[in-house]
Amino acid sequence: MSVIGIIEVIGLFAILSAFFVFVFGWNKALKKDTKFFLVALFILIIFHNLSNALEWISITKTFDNYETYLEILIPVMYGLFFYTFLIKRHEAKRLKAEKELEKTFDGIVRVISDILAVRDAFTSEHQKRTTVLAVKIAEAMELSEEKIKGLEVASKIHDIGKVAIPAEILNKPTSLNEREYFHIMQHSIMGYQFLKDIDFPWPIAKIIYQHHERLDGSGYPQGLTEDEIILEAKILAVADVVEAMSSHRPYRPALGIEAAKYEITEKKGKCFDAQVVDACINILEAGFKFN
Amino acid sequence: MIEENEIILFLLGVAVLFFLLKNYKQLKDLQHSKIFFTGFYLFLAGWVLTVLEGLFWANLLNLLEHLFYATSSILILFWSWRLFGRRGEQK
Repeated sequence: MSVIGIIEVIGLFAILSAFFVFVFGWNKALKKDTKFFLVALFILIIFHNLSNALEWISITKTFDNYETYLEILIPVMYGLFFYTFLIKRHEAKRLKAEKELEKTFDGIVRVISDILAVRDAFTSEHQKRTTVLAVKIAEAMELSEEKIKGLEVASKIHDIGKVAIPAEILNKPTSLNEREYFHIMQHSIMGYQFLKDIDFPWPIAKIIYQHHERLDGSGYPQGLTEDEIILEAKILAVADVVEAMSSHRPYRPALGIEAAKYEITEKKGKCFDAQVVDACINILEAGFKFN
Repeated sequence: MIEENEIILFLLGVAVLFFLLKNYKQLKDLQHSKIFFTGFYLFLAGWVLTVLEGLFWANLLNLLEHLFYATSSILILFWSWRLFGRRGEQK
């Protein structure tokens, strides 16, 4: 066997090994198009290296007819079909596992929400109503299904940190003093602390942590600005304010939807994301009402 | 004269190039994509050398051509191992 023959065999061995590593250890995060590209590329290089290697190690001196190529291509095509079968099997398993995981997450969220409902039914109702509006805004903004699901889950439990706040402060019928307000401000930090170690497929803890942040940095707890705040938190912030202003509070009667619309319009682009506010106003003007 | 294997390789090559251009951004976002692209470009360079060897320095360019193919495959193996063998994550 010539030197070139040895080089070709090494190349063939390497690309076959690469293909096996790819098939048996593939990454589910890869997009479908990328997978097909890689399969096509592997077939091309394997085919190329195989024909070169066979020629140079003199198993077949010349490849000058179609039949010889078909003999090589047919097993490659079988390999591709087998690979496609593996993909489908793998996908089916992954979908099943994802569904089960989603059920588990829904269970966790329901339990968390129920815990808060037992202690503070008022906040629990607020979360449910906020969720409806937040999801509608996200749909109007054409967010991906994945992001909408994450926003929905985060909205359902966004005030979970309030379980750490004394009930007398939460239900105080008069205005809060500075110390009490400080306690209230801790709820987004507490919510984040409770949830940060749960490995949700969405940034739930982050959304909850940031839902009182404002674009101009006047929010809490971190005083984040503009792009430092994730979109889901910007949507939740608007839905949260609109619901809170439209509903009764222990320390004041409901201010109404019109007041809420005025508030978010007035602070559009300063505190609240302009696109989110526009989407919310459109929804409210189309006749949206909290149940 | 064009041989059959060259036609098949050409068709496969066009398909691969089409996919490459279509998925360039996704591929670029993969971890260690530089290794992958270096391997792919070496493979293309091997093809170029195949043509050049017919014009001059036949033996040297022929050896280089096959070295490029082998190195390209080894780089793709290395990239596959780092990305899939260790079950790496996309960025």
